[in-house]
Amino acid sequence: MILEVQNLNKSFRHPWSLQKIQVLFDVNFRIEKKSIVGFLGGNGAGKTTSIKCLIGLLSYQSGALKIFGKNHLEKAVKKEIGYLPERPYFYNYLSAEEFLRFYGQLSGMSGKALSIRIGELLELVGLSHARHMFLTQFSKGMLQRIGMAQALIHKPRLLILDEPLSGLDPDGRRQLVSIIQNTFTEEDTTIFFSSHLLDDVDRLCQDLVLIKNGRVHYNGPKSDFVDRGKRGYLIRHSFASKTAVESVSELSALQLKIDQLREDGHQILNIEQEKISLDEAFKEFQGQGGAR
Amino acid sequence: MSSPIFVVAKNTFIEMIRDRVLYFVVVFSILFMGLCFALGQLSYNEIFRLSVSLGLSGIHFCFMGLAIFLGCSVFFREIERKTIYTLLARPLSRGQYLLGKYLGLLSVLLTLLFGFVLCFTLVEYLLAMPILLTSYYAFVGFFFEAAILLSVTFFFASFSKPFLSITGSLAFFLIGHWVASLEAFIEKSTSVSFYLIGQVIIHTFPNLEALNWRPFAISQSPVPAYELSFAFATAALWALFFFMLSLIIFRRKDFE
Ligand SMILES: Nc1ncnc2c1ncn2[C@@H]1O[C@H](COP(=O)(O)OP(=O)(O)OP(=O)(O)O)[C@@H](O)[C@H]1O
Ligand SMILES: [Mg+2]
Repeated sequence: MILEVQNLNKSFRHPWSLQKIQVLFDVNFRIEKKSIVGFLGGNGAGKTTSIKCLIGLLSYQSGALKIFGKNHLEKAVKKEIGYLPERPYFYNYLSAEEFLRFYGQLSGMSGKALSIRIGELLELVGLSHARHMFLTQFSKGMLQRIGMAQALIHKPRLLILDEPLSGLDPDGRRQLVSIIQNTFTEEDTTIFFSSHLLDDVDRLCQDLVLIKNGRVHYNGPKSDFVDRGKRGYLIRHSFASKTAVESVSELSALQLKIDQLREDGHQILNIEQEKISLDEAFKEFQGQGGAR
Repeated sequence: MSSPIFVVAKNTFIEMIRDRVLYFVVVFSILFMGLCFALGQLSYNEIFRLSVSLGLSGIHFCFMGLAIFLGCSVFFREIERKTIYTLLARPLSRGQYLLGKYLGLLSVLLTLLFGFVLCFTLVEYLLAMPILLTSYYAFVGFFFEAAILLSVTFFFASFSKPFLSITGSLAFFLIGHWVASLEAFIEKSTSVSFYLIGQVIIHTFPNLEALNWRPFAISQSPVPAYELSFAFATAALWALFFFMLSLIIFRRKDFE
């Protein structure tokens, strides 16, 4: 088991009235094996809050959070995770290299091994040229990439990224997507990232955790989620060299339709299950259950 | 492998020293100090007395201002830039983080103080004043006081926004310097409630005037060893006390 969140409840207090505002309601999800998992939900759904609870930046009212089977706050666990917050800025007056050395040392690395790793990472995120530049001179996209490098420095087994792709131009997004993909294929790293950019989630993830209004509605393979939204079957058939397409909603209806068409002397050209994109499935999901 | 406390301290130091905001403040302080000396030069009679006392007062004022400014802005900046998020995600306890920050800033202050010592010596030299060891005890007092103030700012910054932290630390600084006069004042007072309130203040605030060794510079006498060691011990205890308070709050802090 890589990650397990059980019955996580979190509420904030209103700064003035001190009234409780519950944000997470019995959040449950798990990642069982190495995978890229998209944490999907609209604005204010509770993604950042859940992630901050996992990292230990926020306390929570109740719940059991386990990473690699241990309590998520144990030092041994923290050695194995890499984290990139939402819209990071980092230190202004450290160079890219110094910054990575700083974070590597905190994770217990040192000496030659660390220097080599820094070189590798700067290469990976395409910032070799900026090695000695202060972070204050970095553009947003560069900051996001150096942030990614900081999260990867110690070869974590779990990478937690909060909206790594938002605020980047298409080119920057493509670069980051490929960094994530490379990391996944080359290292023993599970990647858990929040996003509301469906295209990228679709491109990257095998599994999904869907959150809405502080409740997890789906946790499982992406394909199953998309399948849930599958509608019916399309039959393309021809008769006297005229083609037509018909759709039926269910498997049994499909059999009947086939029989009928065959009896009438039609030729069946192909049958195809109607697919919907993740985008459509997600829209449907967001529409369900009404607004908050 | 180096200790995480040291790693945090070192990088805090490097970052702060390179921040031009700091240089800006240093330049300001130097100008201010120059002004103090210029004023001292105007009154021709007791030029030594005035230049030393005004110079040291100017340095005192700037240095404490810097300590408060650094202490209060550091958390705000860390949270604002989310560096604290990624740091606390590392195998680093909040106590280690806080101690690292404290030591890093203390070394920044020490470096600044060293700069002030150089400036002071230079100006005295330029004014053709005798360079006396007794003038330098005051700097030791500044450092002790800054160490206390820094941990007071940590305390305020652990639960409030920069403006409030600066106000609180400034109030602490002023009350700390006023405690000694308050003590003399309430001795003469006849009101019981005033006496009690005064006692509470006297016993909850350190007497920062006890670290003021500027008069020794003027009278050209050394600070006795027992006074030095006593000051060191009390300063360390006060700094520790506020550091522990800030740690208790900081440990339970939510980073929203
Ligand atoms: N400090 C806070 N005090 C009160 N409410 C908060 C606080 N932080 C977050 N919330 C509320 O918690 C809910 C979840 O916020 P969160 O930041 O986790 O959402 P998110 O899924 O990350 O959204 P986004 O996509 O906009 O980043 C929101 O309704 C937000 O208003
Ligand atoms: Mg968010």
